[in-house]
Amino acid sequence: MDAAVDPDAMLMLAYARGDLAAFETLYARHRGMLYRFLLRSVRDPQRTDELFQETWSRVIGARARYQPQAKFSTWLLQIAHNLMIDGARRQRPLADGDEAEVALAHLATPEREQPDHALSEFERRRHLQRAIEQLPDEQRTAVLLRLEQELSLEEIAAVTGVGRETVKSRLRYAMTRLREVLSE
Amino acid sequence: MTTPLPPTDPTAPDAQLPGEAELAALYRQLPRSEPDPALDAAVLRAAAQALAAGEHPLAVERRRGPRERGDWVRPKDQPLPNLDEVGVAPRRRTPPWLLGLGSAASLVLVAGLAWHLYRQPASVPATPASDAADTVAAPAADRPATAAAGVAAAKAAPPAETAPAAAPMAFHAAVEAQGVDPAQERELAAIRQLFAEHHDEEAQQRLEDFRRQHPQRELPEDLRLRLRQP
Repeated sequence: MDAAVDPDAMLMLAYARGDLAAFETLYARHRGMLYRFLLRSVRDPQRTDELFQETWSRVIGARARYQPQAKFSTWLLQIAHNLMIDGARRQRPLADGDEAEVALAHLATPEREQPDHALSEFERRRHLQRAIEQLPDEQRTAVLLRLEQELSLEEIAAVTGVGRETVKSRLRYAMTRLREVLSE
Repeated sequence: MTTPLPPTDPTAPDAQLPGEAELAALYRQLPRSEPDPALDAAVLRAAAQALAAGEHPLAVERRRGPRERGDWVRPKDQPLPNLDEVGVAPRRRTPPWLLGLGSAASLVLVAGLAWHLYRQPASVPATPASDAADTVAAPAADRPATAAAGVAAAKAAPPAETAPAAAPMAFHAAVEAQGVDPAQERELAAIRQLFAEHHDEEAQQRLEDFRRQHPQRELPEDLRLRLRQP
């Protein structure tokens, strides 16, 4: 992708030239989505913090050789995904069900909901969260990239390093499973 | 025949999958967690420090526990730490005058040693032991009484002759410096050894051969006295 049409890539290039304000803007734009992607993928807040910090560390370290060949967000998620894969290869156990539930329970609940209606909405969200957690790793990653980041199939394929049709197949299986859980 | 697919833009949204709209709407209602302010501060501080120092502080800061197998340590493009900061003293340059003084002292030492070694074989006849050996130069049958003295001289002589063997490298260097053929010196040493072991006939023969082969070579005093006069 041309850097001229990706404002994030321009910010990254500006940071590489020494513009710290450009990095602050870039960080503000992507910090939330990256953190949520990591948290819902690894389900371990401590590990999420480490991966989050390490991902940005890689970005900072690669500033001099950065070339905007893809969207910045795709590149950022690709780094995060690779770090997660490396972590999984080290056989570090993920948080168990209880630990993950506690971690996700810390997330703030919107206050605008009415108490009687909020119960069912809360239950639906909770079912969705648990259903996402129980998906196989590849399907969960694809779903998170699709729903959280709203990436296209090609972009998900670039992040995860598989073909477009593989991504499409994973998304179909995952969404079918999520709809089944929500309809139960 | 295949129908060509229309070109696709990777960034263009795909057609939604079945049920995706409902899932996406519900997903957007999930709590939107954010990183801690401390985490934000750490990243921004690292970005600023990287610009200021051209370093990668997160590579050091992020490690909280002992290193695990497969841990990423630091990017390969990291510059080496400043030696002044880590307390490593830089190597001092040797003053030029010290090199010159050392070279001159070495030359004087080598020249003195060579001169000393070169002069040592010539001084052997002047020692009392070699004076005694000189008496053996006469045929043993003519002077049997001096045989014991000759043996004693032969036993006393080797220390003076083996002195060069104690420092062969310096000896050969000295001999070469004086323009003397080391092969000739070895032959003379062998002849002396033969005389010391009472192989007089063979020693005489080799000494005469040596004299014929090297008429310009001045024989050492002890061997010149042993040489039979024609």
